[in-house]
Amino acid sequence: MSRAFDSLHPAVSFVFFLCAVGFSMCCMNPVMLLISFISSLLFLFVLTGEKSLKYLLFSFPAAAAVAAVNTAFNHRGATILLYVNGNPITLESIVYGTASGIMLMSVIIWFACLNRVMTSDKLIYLFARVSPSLSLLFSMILRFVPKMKRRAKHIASAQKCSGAAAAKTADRIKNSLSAVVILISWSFEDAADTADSMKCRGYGLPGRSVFYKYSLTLKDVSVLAAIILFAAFSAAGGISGAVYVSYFPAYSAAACGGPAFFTYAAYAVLLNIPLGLCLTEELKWCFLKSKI
Amino acid sequence: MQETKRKLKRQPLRAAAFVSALILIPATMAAGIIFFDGRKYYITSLLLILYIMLPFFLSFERRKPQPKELAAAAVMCAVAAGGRIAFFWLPQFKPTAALIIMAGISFGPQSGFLLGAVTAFVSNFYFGQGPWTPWQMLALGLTGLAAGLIFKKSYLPDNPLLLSLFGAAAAIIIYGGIVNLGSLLISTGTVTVRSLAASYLAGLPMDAVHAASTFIFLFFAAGPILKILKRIKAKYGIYV
Repeated sequence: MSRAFDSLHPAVSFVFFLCAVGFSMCCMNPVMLLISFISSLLFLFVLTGEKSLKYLLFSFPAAAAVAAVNTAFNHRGATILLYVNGNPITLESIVYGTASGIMLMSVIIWFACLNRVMTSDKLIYLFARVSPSLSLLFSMILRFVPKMKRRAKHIASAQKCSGAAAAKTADRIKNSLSAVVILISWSFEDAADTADSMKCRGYGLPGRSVFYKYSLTLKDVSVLAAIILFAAFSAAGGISGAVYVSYFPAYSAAACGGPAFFTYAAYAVLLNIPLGLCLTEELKWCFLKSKI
Repeated sequence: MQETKRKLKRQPLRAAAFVSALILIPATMAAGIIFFDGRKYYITSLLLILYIMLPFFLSFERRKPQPKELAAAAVMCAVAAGGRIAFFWLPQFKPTAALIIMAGISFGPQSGFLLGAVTAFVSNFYFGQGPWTPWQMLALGLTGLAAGLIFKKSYLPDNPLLLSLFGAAAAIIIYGGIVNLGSLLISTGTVTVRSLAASYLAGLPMDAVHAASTFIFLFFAAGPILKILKRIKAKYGIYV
């Protein structure tokens, strides 16, 4: 079901997540916070199904902690509820803390979506244009990590075989230390071969190709245009002060006029573009199936 | 051979660093104070982290690193990122910072920063990217940079005890200092002296375990690993 957004050009997904995370981090307007939170949760549900509840459970304590920390250390605000050890606890700081907690949760959930959609190969594809050497370095490291894991296992079993059975913790630490030293020298020798092989195959010559081929289709361009358009509307609303809220000294929001509602609508559309794509595709599929 | 040597010559951070230090950073701080309301500290700090890291990445890219440099850098990062696998049975016991410190000493401060930042980024493909990624990148990068600056030019001899003490201090002051500040900014958006103190205090147990693991790892493994790195540098004529 998530295929509709997954199969877009990586640049489009990247721009979307940049907007989603960026706006979520900047906006403290409660309506926009809720829009972001709900949209991120819906998208994560589409991406991961029931696992999304796990993320929600995981991010909830973090949000609660944020709310608590804000309440305890932020003494601004006009409405004092009570004093703890001579420090005022204000209503505004509780509200602000809760808002910060929701913001943090939605950012964490957006990142969970990002980890699903922007896989390392897509990021490497994107970086390859801007920074070929760094992106090659990333992909080499990502290839080396599983290789090292396997080697670490080989080394450990070799150590076991040679009678270095470790009963005591100190011995286990010693064995692990020497395993890392062995791993490093082994891997460096091997990497020199890799480097020679790269050189022989013409690394650094012009006209380098990439493993993944994405081409910018009409669909990609139109989705990108929609993202940019609605992001611009949301940003305009933010800059013009239509959705301005201030938590201190007392909570006050800009008048809830037309511009504010327009900004909320644009923001909601922006953050639900991937969800919309996925649902449209699902509906189309159901429709086609029903015709069979 | 002559040509490769010339190509491998280290290039300074050049203009990018100066532009970043003299224009972008003050301008962003000013803009942060004037424009970004509410979450200004967080946005401003993210931009500052970007400006600090960018010159290192740019200079790496400009240098057009040779395959041998790339492969050696990748091995170092992969060992650092996957280093916890050898220690999976001890929670919070990470050799990553120790390995980046050794990389900084062996390959120089500039590469130390780059390898630290890249390691933090890549290991988060396994542990999950999040708002904490830039902070971890900066923290690990600066750990490598500091190690390179302090030990490379032999301001201090790299004897194991001194090195280990430096490692433990770096884990608490540099890594803990930056990552705890980051988590405070991520969660509350503002900094006060008391909330900062509380954040450092809350992070202290984690930092202490991290410092202890860095100390132990450097004390026992720095000798052999630095020897390996020295040999690799001599054998392949590289310094990452």
